[in-house]
Amino acid sequence: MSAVKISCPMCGQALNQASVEEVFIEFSTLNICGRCGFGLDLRWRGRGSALSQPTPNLVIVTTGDSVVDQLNNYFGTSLNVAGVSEPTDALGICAKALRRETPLSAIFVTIRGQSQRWSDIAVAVRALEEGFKVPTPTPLWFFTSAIPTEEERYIFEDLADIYWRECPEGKEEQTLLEVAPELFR
Amino acid sequence: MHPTPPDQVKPPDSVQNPWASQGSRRVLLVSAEPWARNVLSLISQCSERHIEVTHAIDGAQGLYYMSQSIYQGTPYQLLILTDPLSQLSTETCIKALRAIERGLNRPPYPCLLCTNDVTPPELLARYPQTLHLRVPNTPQAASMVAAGILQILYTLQTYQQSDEDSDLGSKSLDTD
Repeated sequence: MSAVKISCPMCGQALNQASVEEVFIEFSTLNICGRCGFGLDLRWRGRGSALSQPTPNLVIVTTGDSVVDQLNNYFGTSLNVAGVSEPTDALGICAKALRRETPLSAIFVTIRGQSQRWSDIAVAVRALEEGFKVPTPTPLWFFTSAIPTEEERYIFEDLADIYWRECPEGKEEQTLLEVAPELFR
Repeated sequence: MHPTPPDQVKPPDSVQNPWASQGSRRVLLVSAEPWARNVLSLISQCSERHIEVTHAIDGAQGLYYMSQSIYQGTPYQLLILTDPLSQLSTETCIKALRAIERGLNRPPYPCLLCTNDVTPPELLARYPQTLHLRVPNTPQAASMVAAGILQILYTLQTYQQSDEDSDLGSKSLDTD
């Protein structure tokens, strides 16, 4: 068979035996360009695994760890609380929970990402849930002193189980700590 | 010697449709551009319908299709995003997708981001497996995007085919 000369779509590196690396992701093998890391063989094997650590029941998007620690202390073993510092990271945990068929009890959001709207996380979570054919949406609570824009209000009106809790500036986490025990009593 | 009559001459390998050998390929185009339909048409013509293109018109719909493909285990070979998008921006779509993949421990989807701007270096550095194509703000962008899609799919398909052949003991990748 004649040699086939092909180059990496990302960096243009000519691909040959020496320039391709193999990496292992759980039970799969992925061939990548040795120069830029672009995945060359991405044939999917299954739907992705969600092994390792158990998924939490409640995800909090916050920059401070103390609120997560305080809630974990409060709920003990009855509720597992995890914290993430980027709103989109909550999506990963949400996907993992859905894949394991143990959906989250709620997502609490106190911050938004740079150049993101408050509604982005809600839209993304609902799109994920629809794709995963989840019948019951995860409640999303926003604890913030911000005022949603007209556009955000319009988007929220179309989505179920979105709760906007206005707080004084700087008191978002305190309000969250007051409300959370009431919700999971 | 008797030359073969012209109607019996087989086309050389390079002329045969390269997409026919691998069965159907699926890509997801997330675009609100009026010329997006031209991309669908061009891909369909060039691949002789061997590449199936799903078209989402906003970021939320795109993320829905991506999530559905992950859930069903029926992958798209490539995600193409054009800027701007409503509901979720292109950057938020890629961020969200990469977060979902991390959560599920999946290898990242190849993404082709098409914008009118220069290559956004931070975005490409932060999110692996993301390519950028600069396209004009005119309907001519359709042919560039279609060509980009075909180029990437062809490269990946050729690599995979070569890799499979090498697994069978006949390494066909160039070993120079």
